Amino acid sequence: MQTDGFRDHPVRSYVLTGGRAHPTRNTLRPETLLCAVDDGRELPASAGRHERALLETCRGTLALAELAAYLHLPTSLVAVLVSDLIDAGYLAVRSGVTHDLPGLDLLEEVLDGLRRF
Amino acid sequence: MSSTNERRGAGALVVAWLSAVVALSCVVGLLLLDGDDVGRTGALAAGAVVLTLLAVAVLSRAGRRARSAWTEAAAERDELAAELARTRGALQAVTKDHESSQRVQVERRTAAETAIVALCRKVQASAHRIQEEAARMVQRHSADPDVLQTSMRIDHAAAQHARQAQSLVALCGHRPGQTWDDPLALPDVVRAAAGRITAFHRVEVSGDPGLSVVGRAVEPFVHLVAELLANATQCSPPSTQVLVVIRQVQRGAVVEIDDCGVGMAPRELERVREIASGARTMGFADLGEVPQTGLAVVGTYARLLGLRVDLTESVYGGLRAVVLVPGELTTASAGLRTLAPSVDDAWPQDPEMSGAAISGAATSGAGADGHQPAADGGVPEPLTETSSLPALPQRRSRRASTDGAGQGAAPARPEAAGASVGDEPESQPTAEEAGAWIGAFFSADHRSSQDDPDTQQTSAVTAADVTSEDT
Repeated sequence: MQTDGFRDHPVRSYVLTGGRAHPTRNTLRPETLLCAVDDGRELPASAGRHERALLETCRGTLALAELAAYLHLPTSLVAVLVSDLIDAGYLAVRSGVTHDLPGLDLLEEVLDGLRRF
Repeated sequence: MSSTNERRGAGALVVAWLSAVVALSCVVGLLLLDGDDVGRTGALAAGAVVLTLLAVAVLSRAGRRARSAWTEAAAERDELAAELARTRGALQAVTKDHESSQRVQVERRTAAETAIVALCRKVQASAHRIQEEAARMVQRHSADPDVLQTSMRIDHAAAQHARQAQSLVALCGHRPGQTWDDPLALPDVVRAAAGRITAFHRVEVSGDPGLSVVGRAVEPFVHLVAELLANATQCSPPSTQVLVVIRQVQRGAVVEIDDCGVGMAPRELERVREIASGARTMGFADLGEVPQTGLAVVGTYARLLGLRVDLTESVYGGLRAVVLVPGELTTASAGLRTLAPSVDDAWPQDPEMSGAAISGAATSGAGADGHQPAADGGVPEPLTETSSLPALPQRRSRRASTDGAGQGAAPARPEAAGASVGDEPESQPTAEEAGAWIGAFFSADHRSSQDDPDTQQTSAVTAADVTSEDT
């Protein structure tokens, strides 16, 4: 069933999260950057296909909102799934780099690059 | 009447024969006496004549009576024949009436079923509209968990609503109203089915043989599993789980559903097995006063799809439903259609990893938008895989269209990307490139302190680990 951009899926959202709509942590924002933890651990066999796809997608740095777009799922739903994966240690939040700001020369280079647009 | 005639006829015959015998004996006596006694002879002769006359009279009367009896019998036969013809005609009329009334009844039932199907389809369509509206609500307020919670509740209620309506449609022998184009992986089939029952959180799925159900069978199969799950959850204590195991077998795939209830008496089990396997056809009339549609629907779909459904005693004490999906209804599972790029993988492959590469990364997005064949040369392996998948989201399709062309032109990337900057300055980078840009932004900074392009991958990971602690 597909009408003007709405894409239905047989697996309903409440089944994916077990009925939970609130993530286990309240720090996840749509712009929060996420990255898979590459420590060689495999997801447990009981993990759903969406969790696997989510982790696969997150091998690079990706914002929560982007992740949601790729999975065709609402951001708030992905936040629940992501928070579970963070709790289990498979995903990591790449929060704003406050302690390790880029150097001045790099910023100037970025500025130059932007001006060239 | 005929019996009296017969009796009379028989009496006349007896009298005639007696008269004849007596007359004969008179004649014999006459001859024996030999004319000695004239008086006796005369008397005997007279007696013989009288008796003969009597016999003749009696016989002629009997003949008359027999004739009249014959005529009567013929008349009676004609009457009976006419009566028989009348009766036959009446019988034929009654049979015809009965046939036509039966036909009318069948027509009426068909009409009633058609009406039920039409009404149920309407109900189902409205339930799906509710689901769609709920989904749109979440899309509009995509960051609000409370909206998601409400949407989930509405969606769940509407899904059960739609299932009930679709059950009636199935019982009328019609195909389900909802259809899906794409194959659905077996674990997702069970999850989709779980979404249509009340106690979906009690369903535990395990096993993923990497098989999907083909598109045309998705909806009936999901509905069938949903009915089995509904039965399993209703027939077991609310605190127990319903265990679903999916495995691959030689002839296709098997879905086993175990509940932890108390099972069934053997005779009852035999009855429900017949219904669930589709061996016994169940229509509306067979449902009884407290209609139980679940297994009747299962049987209907089992016949429709050619599935084998069996119910046995479970090792957990309750019932085990086993569904065999034949090989022709399964296909190998494709990955979930998502596909995002693992952008960071691309960086170590690029020898030009320096601060300047950031601008290169940013502009490569512009190149992709402008359909520059060289723009995606550095795309890592997973991306090529995904580009072959159908029906990608809009913002990926542009990228996917250039992927094929970009394969051979990898070395030309930096120049082409650089050139495209001036050509199409208004182009927006795709999401992957934006992600790449951000990834590069952080990792480049980290690297600039280390000054070693070869350890880029490790440093990126280290950076991730260092900064990954969630607040």
